Amino acid sequence: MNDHATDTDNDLPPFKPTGAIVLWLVLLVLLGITWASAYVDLGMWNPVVNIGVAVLKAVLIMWFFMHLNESGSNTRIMAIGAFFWLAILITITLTDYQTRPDHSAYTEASAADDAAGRRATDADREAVDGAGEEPSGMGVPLLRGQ
Amino acid sequence: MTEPSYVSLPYVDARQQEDAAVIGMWIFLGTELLLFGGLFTGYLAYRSAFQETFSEASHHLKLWAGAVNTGVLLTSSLTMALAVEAARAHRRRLLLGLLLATALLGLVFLGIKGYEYYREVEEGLAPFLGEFLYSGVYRERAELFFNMYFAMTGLHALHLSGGIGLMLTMAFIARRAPHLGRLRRQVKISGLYWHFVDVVWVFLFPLLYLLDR
Repeated sequence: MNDHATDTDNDLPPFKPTGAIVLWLVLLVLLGITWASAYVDLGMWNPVVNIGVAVLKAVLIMWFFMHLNESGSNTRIMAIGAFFWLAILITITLTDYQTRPDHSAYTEASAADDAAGRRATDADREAVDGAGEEPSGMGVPLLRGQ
Repeated sequence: MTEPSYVSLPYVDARQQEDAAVIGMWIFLGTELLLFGGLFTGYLAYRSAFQETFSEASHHLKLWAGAVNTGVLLTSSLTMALAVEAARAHRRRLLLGLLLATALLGLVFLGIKGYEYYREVEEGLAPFLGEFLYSGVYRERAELFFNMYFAMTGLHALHLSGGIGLMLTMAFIARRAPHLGRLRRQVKISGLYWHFVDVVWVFLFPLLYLLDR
């Protein structure tokens, strides 16, 4: 292909597609691995493979396609920082929910409801909660006391 | 390499201006990550609270559609990366073609996603659109899964639509831009956004579709 409307620079880099294509093939192989693993029962290793492959794909995309390999340290700190804040958000939130011992009244109530094949009403929840000390808002009561 | 014609005032040279733009884009993407991160965190909390429900509900999603769409987005990331290469080499026609190919692959993704949504609404799996006809054991908590599924994939689809608009805008600019040096920077920044939307999907796919399988 001959492009006439280029600038006059003589030191332009040539168009090199090889690296990107190789990376794309690697990413497709990784996708194939996760897809195939969905049909194999690996027990607790299924989620490990799925999330591990996702992290690997994300790192490859950011390192090569998003040019972190040729970026200065300032840019890299911005990228790492974003994931660092996200890690704080997820870790501390899950620490809270994972360390509460008793299961909520909601869970019991809804299990009974599910067994009966109907939806829990607010009255049911209040009956199990006992007196219903707070109004049930969207979502919030679902996680109470997990 | 000095490129005085498209360096803006506060910058010494094109390299410095590009670095500043790239850092600014990464900061924006950081805020985007936390926007999605709130949904991810909520999803993980509910998932750990209602494990059985979520893995049961997850099996109602169409795995093939999610996997094919992942492949489509990964391929669009390839055409995007090649577009940046083409802009670097000042290959205008090639750049134009690759930008349009990227936008087209984005539309293919939205098409498959739209078909998936259509089937799910038809099967009564969209709690906010008509009756919820879920057939599993944990009916009420499954509503939560599907609400989160639609919120997360919907927000992602919205971002992808923005990306398609960005690609078309870039293609429009690339058709006439007198200075391909300036365009190179703009294409690189747009590419960062496109790849970011791809990265979000890379995590959405295993979390929603591959739960417990």
